[in-house]
Amino acid sequence: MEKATCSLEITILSAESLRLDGRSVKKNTFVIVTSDSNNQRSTSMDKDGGSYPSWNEKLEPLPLPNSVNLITVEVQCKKSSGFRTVGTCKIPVSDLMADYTPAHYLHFLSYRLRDRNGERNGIINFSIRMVGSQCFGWSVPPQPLRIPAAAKQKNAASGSGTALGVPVPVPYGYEHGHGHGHGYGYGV
Amino acid sequence: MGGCFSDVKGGQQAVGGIQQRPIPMSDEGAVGPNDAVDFFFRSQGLQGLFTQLELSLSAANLLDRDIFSKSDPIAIVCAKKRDGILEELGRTEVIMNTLDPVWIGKVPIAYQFEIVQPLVFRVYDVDSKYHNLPVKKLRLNEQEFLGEASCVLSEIVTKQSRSLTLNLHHGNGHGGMKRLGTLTVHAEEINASRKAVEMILRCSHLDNKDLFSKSDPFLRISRIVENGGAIPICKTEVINNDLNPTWKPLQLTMQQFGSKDNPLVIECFDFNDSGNHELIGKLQKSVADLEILYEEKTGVNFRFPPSRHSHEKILKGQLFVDGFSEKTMYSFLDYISSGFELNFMVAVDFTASNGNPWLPESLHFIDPSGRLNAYQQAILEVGDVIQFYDSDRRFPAWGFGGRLSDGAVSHCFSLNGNARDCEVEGVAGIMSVYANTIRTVTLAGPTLFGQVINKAAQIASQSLSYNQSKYFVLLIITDGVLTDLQETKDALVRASDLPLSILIVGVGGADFKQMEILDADKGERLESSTGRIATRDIVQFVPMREVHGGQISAVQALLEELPEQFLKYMRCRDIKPRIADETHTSSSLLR
Repeated sequence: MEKATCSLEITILSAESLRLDGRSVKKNTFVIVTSDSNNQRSTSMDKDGGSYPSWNEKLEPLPLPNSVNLITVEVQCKKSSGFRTVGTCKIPVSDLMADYTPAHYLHFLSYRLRDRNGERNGIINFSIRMVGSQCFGWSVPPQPLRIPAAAKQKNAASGSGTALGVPVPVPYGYEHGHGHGHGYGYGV
Repeated sequence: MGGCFSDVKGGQQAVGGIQQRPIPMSDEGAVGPNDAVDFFFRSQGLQGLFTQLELSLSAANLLDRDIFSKSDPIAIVCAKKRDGILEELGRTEVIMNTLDPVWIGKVPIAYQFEIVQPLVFRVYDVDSKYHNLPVKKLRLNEQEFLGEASCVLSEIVTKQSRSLTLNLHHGNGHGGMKRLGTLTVHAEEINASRKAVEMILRCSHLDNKDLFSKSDPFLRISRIVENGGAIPICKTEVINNDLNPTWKPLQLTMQQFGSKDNPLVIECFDFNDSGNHELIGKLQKSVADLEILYEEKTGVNFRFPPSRHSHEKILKGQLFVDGFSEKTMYSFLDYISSGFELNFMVAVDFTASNGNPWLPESLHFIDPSGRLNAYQQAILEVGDVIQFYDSDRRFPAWGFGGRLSDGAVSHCFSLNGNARDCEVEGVAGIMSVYANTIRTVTLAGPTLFGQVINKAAQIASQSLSYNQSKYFVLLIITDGVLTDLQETKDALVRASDLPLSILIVGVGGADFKQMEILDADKGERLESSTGRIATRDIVQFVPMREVHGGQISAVQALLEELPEQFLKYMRCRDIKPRIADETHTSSSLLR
């Protein structure tokens, strides 16, 4: 069943200063992440974060077909009248492999959300990582550039047991802005 | 008591949890929403700014000065001040009749990341006629000198074992042939408790204190100290217009709450813009009590203290603990002493606004008398601190905004003239390539940081392929105004996801407003032209102004936040230091 060449491991952390119809969002916001029409994931609803919701929710891996260049992240709000889109952003897949980061690097990213009219409407914070052996096809191999001497040396040393932390996706968020949206995970 | 919240926005923030470190005192006069807490931490030497260390000393193969027995050694630890004067920090006990003493007495010292802390150790043989005197009373000039050694504190803490062995020598510099033995210094954190608790606190049925809306509650937690007073250790954010608030998870370190059984006063206030916050209710519980509340899922009632008119009242409002977990928080030194490094990079402004470098007015003027220009000062001051955290001490050094010998303006060129390898040896290496380059490169413009930042980001991200124990620090020294602010923002936003911090030193008298924008802790988060937003603040800016011959040490302010930026990066990725008492195998293999 391994059809997708690569998937994305996404943890939706939080959003900031969300507005709907000119007013701060009260509650019931959630996030939908889409790579293509067959592949979509969403978070549960945030009940009490208001216009600064935090989810700290790790989504099921989202397949990333080769043809996809943009991932869509959309914040929606459940109103009595139905679901409303609060804000959307499109994330270039190239942002995940910029600057020669290793293919499986855990990125912490934030994007400006825009509402239906293209007006700025808040910020979304999440962490994202490519998983799957095929992801290297996406990534720029780190070899062709000159490796700084320091990196080489250290690499030699690491074979002999230097401390290496392995990044594990945990729902830790960066602290954002004015003390809002600080998504510190608990109960790992 | 509420008067310490000076501005509304600041006052409504949470303070004193682990993430919120005290706002560093800036020369602008420290707008302090949290001055009380801040002061407390500072006075206690806690949290980031200072780390209290204890030095343990031992020596081997000391000289034998006594005729019928062995020496009776004592060791003295001194700090060497900027002016060269030694200040005694402490001394060990006297151990009788040994040439290989292991002293028990510890010498406390406050470790500060942002300054170089030179230490001098002296060992004396105490004559037996003084043996009844307390060690503090011993006059050192009456004792026999056994040797002296020196190092800087960061050399000790960057060692994996946190121990450094030094050869003892004669203080006067000559007579070096004779072996005087060795001295080993070991540094350990006092209060090195890495334990912390995280709690989610909630209240219900709080009293309404506001006339036209509901209360705007926040909690303040204080620790009861020995003399019965209470010292505030943290407060939550303010939740507007809510009588049943749940606050964001709150973290308290062992340093803050003392022990799990130490009683804490928890007060609930109604936030008031005037700073005159009204007490809703208070109660007293220890961390252990709060854990029980969590397990039993029960609430505890607030009380209102007795006044002239009434007795103590038990209120309807209750406190609940909805989450409780214990965590391990690693300190900066935990990482640094387990093989993590700060790698230093420098970029120097070669734009024409610095003035003709051959003229004394120029910011780039190399004074034949040896007096350092502002660029040299900045390189030296920052480099001196950071070099100890970089094991190979090879630093990439670039220039930007200069016209090279081929006639083209470059926004990122190697100062050593080698396009393929921009690294130079040590801080001295940077100083010498800088002095050479200023004679060969023509100052030009415009001022663009983008390429330099991208280059640094590239090195930082490449290193990730090999290991995760490196963090990079780019120092940009500039005299002025950016030609393209957005270009710089774009580069910074991309770099904000990497193990990289950028220090910008402004030299000369230009208007540095733009730099303040880049230094996001003073304003909005940076936004790139494509809508991506900086993940975190990675820029620190300080202007370096000369004040009558002696510069203000701007560098300390610049470096102060580095350990916290480093920790934030490592913690959110759950990268842990390797705390183990394994022998340091790798350092010897590095060479």
